[in-house]
Amino acid sequence: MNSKLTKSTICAALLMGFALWIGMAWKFKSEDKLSYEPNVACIKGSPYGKIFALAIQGPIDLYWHEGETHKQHAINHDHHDGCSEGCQGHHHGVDVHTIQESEPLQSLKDNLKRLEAAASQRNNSKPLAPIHKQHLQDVIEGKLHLAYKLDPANYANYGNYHLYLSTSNLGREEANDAAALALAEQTLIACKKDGVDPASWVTAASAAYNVADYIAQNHRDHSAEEAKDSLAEFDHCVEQYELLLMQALDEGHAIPAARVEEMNTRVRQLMKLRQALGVHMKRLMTEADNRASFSSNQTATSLMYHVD
Amino acid sequence: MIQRKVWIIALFCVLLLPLILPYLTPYESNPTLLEPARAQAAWVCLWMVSIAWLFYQAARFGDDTARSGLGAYFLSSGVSGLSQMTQIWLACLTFLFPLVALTLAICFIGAMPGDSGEAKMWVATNLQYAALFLLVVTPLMMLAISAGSRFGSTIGYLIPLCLSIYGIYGVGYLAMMADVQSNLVLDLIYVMSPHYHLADLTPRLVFKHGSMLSAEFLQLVVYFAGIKMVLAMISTLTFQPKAAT
Repeated sequence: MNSKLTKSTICAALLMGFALWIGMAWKFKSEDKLSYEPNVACIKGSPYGKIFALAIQGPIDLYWHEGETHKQHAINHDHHDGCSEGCQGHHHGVDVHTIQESEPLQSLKDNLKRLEAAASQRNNSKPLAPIHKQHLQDVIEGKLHLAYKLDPANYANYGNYHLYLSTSNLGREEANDAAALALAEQTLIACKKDGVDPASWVTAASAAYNVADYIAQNHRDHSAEEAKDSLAEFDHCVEQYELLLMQALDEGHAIPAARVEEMNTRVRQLMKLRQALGVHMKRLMTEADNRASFSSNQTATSLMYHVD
Repeated sequence: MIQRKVWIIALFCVLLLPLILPYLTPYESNPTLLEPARAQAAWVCLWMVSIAWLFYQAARFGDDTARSGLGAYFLSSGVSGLSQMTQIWLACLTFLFPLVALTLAICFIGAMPGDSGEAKMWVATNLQYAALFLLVVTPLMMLAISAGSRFGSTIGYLIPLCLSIYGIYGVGYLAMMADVQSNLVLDLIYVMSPHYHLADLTPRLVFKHGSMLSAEFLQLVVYFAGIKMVLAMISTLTFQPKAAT
């Protein structure tokens, strides 16, 4: 260790190590191999991401209802006399009107729930300051984004995040249609890779519907072919869903009946929306055709006058 | 180590958690989730055990050697500091290698794809992963030993812990900062940081990307070998067989 040879060997090895380290790092940097998005324990998009995506729904509700959980909010607020805008897109787990007090134990449990709800009830009559609301909105957006990243194939995650981006009713100043379209297209690509889980194809159908809807809303920028393709894409997703569901049930995958029913209900709703969209698109195309033939007639007439 | 029985927790994490955790996923509706989930759990647990426990053990061994006077005794009997550090490091490897072997066994037995082509790639990816993992963890263990001998077990543990977490996740956030504001110093720090995330092949297993191309894998081996040489030399210079008086 004290000899000159040892010291020079250590120095040489140190220099060589640095040279390899920095040289390769520089090479990786020039080839853009160093850039990555940190994904702790590879949770996002993994099978475990599906569990975390469900678990994060609770914190989202907490911010959405300004400090109350979903159930507490349902108990503390009467949702039948005109829900505030904050209630859109939610299904309340506990309906206070249906709480039965027939059994003493049930009554005690209900009282505990009421006490729990009262503990977090908002009694301040003054609304939150705009900057505070903005902060809560940013947190909600971040959590919706995270939930989507954790499991992009979950239809609730996709639906909530898409709704958040595509509407201006939820406290946002303006809708971000471009981001909503990008999200739908990205989701469609991701979900179409799944060849086993029918739930992914419900999400795919939902995304395909959103793409078709965007095309209908911006029909002036899209051709009739694009419109037809978008509807065909939706039909393909529904067909694939039905096929995979049948396959899964035949192979004995233990999909709970309630989940199957939920997926079927969602697909039925999407089918209804698709039918209405199909009619709307057809009308738009007919109008566009009429306008085109009218303008070509006008051009011919003007040419005739010009020739005359 | 045996007296304290911490190894049981480590063994439980590496052996049993990969068998239990996949059943938390919604595998009933999609049974294909089980195998990637098992491989993911196996490798993530190995990383966690290495970072949380093995580095601490290494730092403690270094500290104990210097503090107990054992290092001074060996030094007086002709065993050099470098030799002592290497032997402690090899002792640490005797419980790192079985954990890596267990992880590989879980991936090969419990998560092997049915298709023969995919199975070959699966084996290759896991072996590549094991090689890169060892190239990252073993020099950090050596650093833990030497830092532990000189600065005590707490600092000896914190240095490799921070370095590994920074290399796996921190540089990603640094890259985001460097992208937002164009700054030469930030760029330099970013490039010169140890990019340990390159050795984390878990996404390749979870999303079934297949094995790395040989050329790319060799480039990574050279990169991590460079870091290994630097850390090994720093450890050699830092190791102190007898406590400072």
